[in-house]
Amino acid sequence: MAMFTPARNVGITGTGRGGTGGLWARIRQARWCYLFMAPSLILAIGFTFYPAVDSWYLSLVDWSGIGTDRTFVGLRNYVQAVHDPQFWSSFGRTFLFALATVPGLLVLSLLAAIVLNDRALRMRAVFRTVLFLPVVTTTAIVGVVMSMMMNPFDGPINAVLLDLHLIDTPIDFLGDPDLALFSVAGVFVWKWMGISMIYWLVALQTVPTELHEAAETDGAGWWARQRHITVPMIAPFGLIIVLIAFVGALQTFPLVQSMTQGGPALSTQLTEVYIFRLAFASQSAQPQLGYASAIAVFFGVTVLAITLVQAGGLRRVLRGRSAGATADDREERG
Amino acid sequence: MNARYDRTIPLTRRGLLAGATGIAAAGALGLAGCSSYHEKVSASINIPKPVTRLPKGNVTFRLMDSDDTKKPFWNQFFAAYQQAHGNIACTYDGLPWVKIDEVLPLGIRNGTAHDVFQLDTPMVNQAIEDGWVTPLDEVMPDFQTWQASFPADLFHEGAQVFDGKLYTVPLTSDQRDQVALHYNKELLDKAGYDPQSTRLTWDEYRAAARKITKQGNGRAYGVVLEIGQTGRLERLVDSLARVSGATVSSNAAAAGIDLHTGEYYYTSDEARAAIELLLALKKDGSLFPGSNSLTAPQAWPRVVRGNAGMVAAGPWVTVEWETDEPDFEFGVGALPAPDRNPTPMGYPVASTADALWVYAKSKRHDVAADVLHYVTSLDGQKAWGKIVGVGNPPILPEALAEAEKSYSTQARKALALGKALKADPDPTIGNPDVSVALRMKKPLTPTWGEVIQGILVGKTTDVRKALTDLKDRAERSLDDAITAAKAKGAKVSRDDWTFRNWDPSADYTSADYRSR
Repeated sequence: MAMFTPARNVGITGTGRGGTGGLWARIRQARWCYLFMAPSLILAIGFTFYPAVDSWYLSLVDWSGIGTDRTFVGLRNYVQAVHDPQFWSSFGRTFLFALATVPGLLVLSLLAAIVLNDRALRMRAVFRTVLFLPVVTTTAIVGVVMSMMMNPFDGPINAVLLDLHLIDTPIDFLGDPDLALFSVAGVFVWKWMGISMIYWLVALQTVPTELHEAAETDGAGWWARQRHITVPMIAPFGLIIVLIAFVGALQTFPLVQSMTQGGPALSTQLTEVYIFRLAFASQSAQPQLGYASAIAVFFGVTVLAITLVQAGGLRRVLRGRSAGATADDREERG
Repeated sequence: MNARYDRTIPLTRRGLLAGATGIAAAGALGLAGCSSYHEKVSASINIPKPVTRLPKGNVTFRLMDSDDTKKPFWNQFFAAYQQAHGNIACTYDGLPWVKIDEVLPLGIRNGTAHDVFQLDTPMVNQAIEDGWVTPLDEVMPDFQTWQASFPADLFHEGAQVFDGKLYTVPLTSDQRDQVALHYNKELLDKAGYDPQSTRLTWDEYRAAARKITKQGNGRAYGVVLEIGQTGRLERLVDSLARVSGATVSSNAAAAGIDLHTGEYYYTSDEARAAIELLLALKKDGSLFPGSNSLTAPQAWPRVVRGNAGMVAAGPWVTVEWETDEPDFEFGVGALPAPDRNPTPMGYPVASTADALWVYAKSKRHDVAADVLHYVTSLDGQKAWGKIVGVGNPPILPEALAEAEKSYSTQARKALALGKALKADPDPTIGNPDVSVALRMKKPLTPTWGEVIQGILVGKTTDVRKALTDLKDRAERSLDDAITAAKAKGAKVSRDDWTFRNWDPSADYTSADYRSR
C-alpha cells in the first residue's frame, strides 16, 4: 500500500507555479491531495456550483418551474426586477435587517467573549456552551418557540415585561408591522451571537497575556487595558467578523419563514422570502421560477460585490497595520 | 411525514399516534396543513378481490395527498391492503399543500413521483399538457361501468375531463362550509347567545364578542382571527361579502370576480362592509391578542382553551375538536350575516383539489387501479365517510347517508351547513380554455389576502386606495393572462367570467350554462 508523504513530493507549495513537468505530471504528483479534496469538490459541484450556474440560466427564461414550457427571454426578468417595487422593498428591508442585527451581534458577542476569556471566571466553559447552544439549535424550532414566547396573550416575554412594570399593555412583537422586523432581528442576534463570540474568543487568545500583565503592573485598570491593548490587537479580526456577520445577516430565510412568513403586511418580506414566494409559494397562480432566479442572481451579485468591497477594505487596513508595525520595529531597532 | 407499513411490525394505535404526534410537531413548525388528525375512529375494511392482475413479486406503491383528516383512512386501508397482498408495500405521504407544490414537480422532473397523488389546481393544465398524469380511461378496468357508478354531473370537461378523457376522481365532496362559526359553548351560553339555533347578525356577532371580552376580563376574547394566514383571510372576507349579497364565487378559477359583471369585486360595497366588520371587532377590543400573526391551526386551539369565543373554520375543525378534545363543549353555527335574510354561500362543483391523479410513468398502474376502484366503491366510500368524518364527506350520496348516521350532533350541523351551499358557476366548465388563461396568470403582490391583512394590522390606512390599486392590478393580470392564452391558441375572453343569469340563491345547473 502506498504511503502518503506530504509536501515533500507534492510540489504545490508556494504560488503553485514553477513545479516540475507539465500540468498532468503535477496533478499526478499531487494526486493524494486531489483524492482527499474529491468528496468536498463533488459535493460543492453538485450542491453549490451547479445550482448557481443553473440559476443563471434559469434567470434568462420564463418558466414556472413545473413544466417543460420554457421560453428564453434574455434579460427581461432582470428588467422586470428593476421595475418591481416589491423587489426593491424587500431588498431595502434586507439591508435594514442587516444593519439592525450586525452592530448588536458584534458588540454583544465581543462583550461576552471578553468576559468569558477571563481565566478568573469560574464555569466559563459552561457559559460558553450555553451561549453557543442557540447556534446549533434548528432554526425552525427556534422560530416557532420564539413566536410562542413573544405571544402577546400568554407569552413569557410579555409576562416578564408586565411583571417588571416596564410596559402597561402586552406588545404584539410579531403582529405589529412596525415591530415585527426588529423582533425577528432580536431573535437573530440571540441565535447567532454564539458563533461571533467564538470568533472573538479566538481573536482574544492571540493577545499576549504579558501585555496585560505589564499594563497592570503600570497601573492600568480593566477598562484601560481592554481599550488600549485588547481592542487594537483584535481589530483586524473584527473586520473579518463584521464581514461574516454581515453576509450571514443577509441570509435569513429559515428564521423569517418560521416566525412570520414575511408578514404581517409584508413587513418582514426580505429578499430571500420574496424569492421563495415567487419560486414556490403561489397560492392562486403559477410560480415564477425564472423571475425568482433573476432576483436571486441579482441579490447574490450584490452580496458578492459588498463582500469584495469589505474584503478590499480589510486588506487595506491589514496592509496599513503591517506597515505601521514594520515602522515601529525599525524605530525600536534604530 | 412518511408512513411506511412494515408487514413484520403490527400497526398499533400507539405507533400511529406516535406518527401523528410527529406530524403534529411538524405542523407546529409550520409544515403541516390545516389540522392534526386522529386515529380514534375505525371502520372494518375488507379488501375485495383485485380488479386488476396484481404483481406477483415484491413491489412498492406510493400515494401522496394533502392529509388533513384523510390520513386515518389511508392508515387503516393500507394496513388492510398489505395484509391482503403481502407482496405490496404501501407508502403514504400526507403533506401540506405548500410541500406538495414543491415535492411533486421535483418528483416529476426526476421520474420519482408518487404512483398516485393530489395535484394543486394551478398545476392541473400543466400536468395534462406535459403528460405527468394518465387518463383513467387507460388505467381502470371496465372503465364505462366504473364511471357510471358516480353521480351524474360530477365530471366536467376542463375540470376532471380533458379532451373527453377522465383524468381524476374526487373521493370527497367540496360541498363543505369552510367558514362555519365554531364556538365555545360555555362562553357563548354565559354571554346569552346561541348561534346554532339562530344565525347571528353582524350586530349580534359584534355584541356577543364584546360581551365575551368583557366577561372574560383579559382571560377571554370574543373572536380569534387567523390574520397571519392570508388565504383563510381571503375566504373569510369573500364569504362575509357573499352573505351580504356580493355575487362572488367560491371557485378558484373565478376568485375575487363579481360573476355578474366579470370584474373584480374588491372595491364593492360588500367587500368594504366585510372588512369594516372585522375592523369593528378590532376597534371593540374583541379580537384575541396576537391574532395578527396567527395561522388557522394556531387560532383554533384558542377557542378550546377558552381564550376566545368564536372562530370561523371548516368541518375538519369539527372533527378535530370531537376526536382530540372529547370533553370540550362546542357548537357549530352559520357564519354571521348582515341580516336575517342572507344570500346563501356557494361551493365549487368541479373542484379537483382533493382528487387523486395517477402518475403517467408509474409502473404500478395495476395497483393504482385496484386502490382507486376500492376507495370509489360503495364499501370504500362508506369506510371513508366513517373514518374521515364530516371534514371530507364521501362523494357517493349513499355512502354519505350511511356515514351521517355515525356523526355527532355538531358534525351533522356542519354537514347541514354544507348541504345548504349552492353550486356556483365555474368559468372552466363554461369554457375549458379558461384554464389555459389561468395557467398564464401571474401572481399578484400583494395579494387580496395581504391587502386585507395590511388593513387589519393597521399598515394600510387608505383603504379605498389600496382596494382600487388591487382591483387595477388584478384586472391587468387577468387581461394579460387572456392575451397570453390567446397567443397560445386558446379561445378565451373576459366574457367567460360573466354569468349574468346566475342567481346565487340557487344551484347553477347545466341548463344555466347553456342559456347564459
